[in-house]
This record gives sequence, C-alpha cells and structure tokens, in this order.
Amino acid sequence: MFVIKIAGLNIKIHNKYNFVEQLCKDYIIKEDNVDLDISATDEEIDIEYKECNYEYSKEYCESTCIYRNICSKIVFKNRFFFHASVVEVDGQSYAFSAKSGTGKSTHTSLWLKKFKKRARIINGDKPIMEIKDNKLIAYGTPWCGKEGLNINTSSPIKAICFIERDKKNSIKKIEEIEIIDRLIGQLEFPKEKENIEKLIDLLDWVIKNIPFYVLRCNISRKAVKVAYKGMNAKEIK
Amino acid sequence: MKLKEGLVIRQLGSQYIVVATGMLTKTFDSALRFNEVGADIFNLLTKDTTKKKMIKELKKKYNVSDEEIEENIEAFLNLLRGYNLLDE
Repeated sequence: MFVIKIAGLNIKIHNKYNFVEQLCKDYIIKEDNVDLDISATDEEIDIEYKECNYEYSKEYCESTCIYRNICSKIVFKNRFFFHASVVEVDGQSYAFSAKSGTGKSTHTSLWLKKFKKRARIINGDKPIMEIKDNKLIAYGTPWCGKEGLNINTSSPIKAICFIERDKKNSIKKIEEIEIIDRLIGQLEFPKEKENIEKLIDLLDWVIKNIPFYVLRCNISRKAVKVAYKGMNAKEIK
Repeated sequence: MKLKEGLVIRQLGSQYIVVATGMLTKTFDSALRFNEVGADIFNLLTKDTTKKKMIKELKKKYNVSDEEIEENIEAFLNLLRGYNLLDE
C-alpha cells in the first residue's frame, strides 16, 4: 500500500498489483493522516478485465478501478471527475471535452505550440475538479490519458468547451439545456444514490458559475485562435 | 405500471436528471434529462399506477387538455420503454 496526494487529498491506496504504484510515483507522499482509503475488489477487477475484452492486464484494470472508486468518493469532498483535456495559459485553464477520438488532445497540443512557455497541460484526459472558494479548480493526476500528460499542480478553470470536428472553425457560448445534455454524456456517474445526488449538486454549481462553449474546429492553429478569442471575449451588455 | 427499482432523480438547474444505481446500472449506464413535466410523470411512476390515474394527477397542476397530457405521458413511457426502465 502507499499514500498519494491528489487534488489536495491524502489517499491511501491498498493495491494488489504493482502497476498502480508505478503509475502514481510522482504523487506518492509519506503521510499517516489520510482523507480516504481506496482499493479495488477482485470482483471489480474481473468485471473491468472482462469489459475491456481482456485487452488490458489485470494490473492495469486494477488501476482503472481504483481511480473509479476514488472518483466516486471524492464527491463528498466537493470534488469530481471530468473527462477533459485541461490546458492552462497565463495561469488560467480551459477544459476541452469531447467524445473519444474527436481530437481534444490534438487540439490542446496545438495550444502548447501557439502559446509556448505561457501554456502547459494540467491533465490530458482525466482531471479531478474541485469547487473551492467560489472557483472551479482542475488538478493534475496520475490518470491522464495515454500520452501521460499531467503536472502535479492545480489551476483555476476559466471555461469549459466541448469540441466537435468541422471543416471551419467557430465557437459559441451555450446555455443550460445544451450544457446539461453535453455534460451528462461526458460523466461517469457513481453507482450509489447519495454519491450521484452529491455529484449532481456539484454540477449544479458548475453550470451556474462556469461559462460553457462549443467549438467546431479543424486541426489547425487557427482553431486555437478562434477558441482562445471566443473564450476571452468581453461580453457585450 | 411502475418504474424499475434503483433510479435516482435530482434537479440540475431548471431540469431533472435520472441515473441508475446498483444493479440497474448493468442495463442502464447513462443519464436522462427531463423538464418539470417529465419529473412529475417520473415521480408518479415511482408507485404502481395507470395512465388514467396519472392524467388525473397532472390535470391538478397543468391547465391543458387530457389529450395533451396523455400525449406527454405516452411519449415519456415510450422513452422509458426504450431504455427498459418500466415494469408493465
């Protein structure tokens, strides 16, 4: 077993396989006081192993189950998992969400090329978000997608943007019903009633306080310009 | 008719989200969004009921024709049937 600090929480991981400890190596701390104890049962691992058609090893499946269990419990600590690629520019972050294969990682990598030293990827795929001091904070975690892009840090979210592929680049702000329909497609809900209710309550704060956009774009630096400009435009009153 | 056991409904903004819990997640692992009318129909279906009873209840709140209420109910029931969330 080992203890990690992610999203401001000390979490003791009771693991069966070594893989997850290797995965978490940049987040391991020596600490006796923990906020959460997390493990994955043999049954959970077997289910995950079967569901991925045995393409991944059981030790990899354990790491997936462990993160799922972390994400289920952290809702009671005002934190939640969100499937997105988070890029920070000048100290503020933008979370790009999309169905797998749409190109959110490709898009955020273009942000790094455009903004260079001003930009960094906080978490390439699976950030934890926290509602804290009236802000939404994104965290780097060991679970961050196949490119392994993450920084053990946090960053305030300025906007959340859904990406769709298109020939031309355009961005628009979206409102409540569209936000909810797109959001619920990008969330993994816990299986317990109280956890689900708490997650939805957190999302209620998010949809009321964070601007959401839809970016239709191709793979180009122009797409980055459209996205950045769109999410930084001053609202005309 | 009645909803299957294990569904949670919670308000999100002006809308309502329905998610499965426990064993029901094996057959339904996404989420549905409803407006207030949908939420009212959902709540009526948490107990065994009939279309006639639901129309009567909804008429107390919504000042519209029986036909319109029945249309809404039927559309809602078909949605639930599509996701296998109804016991009939």
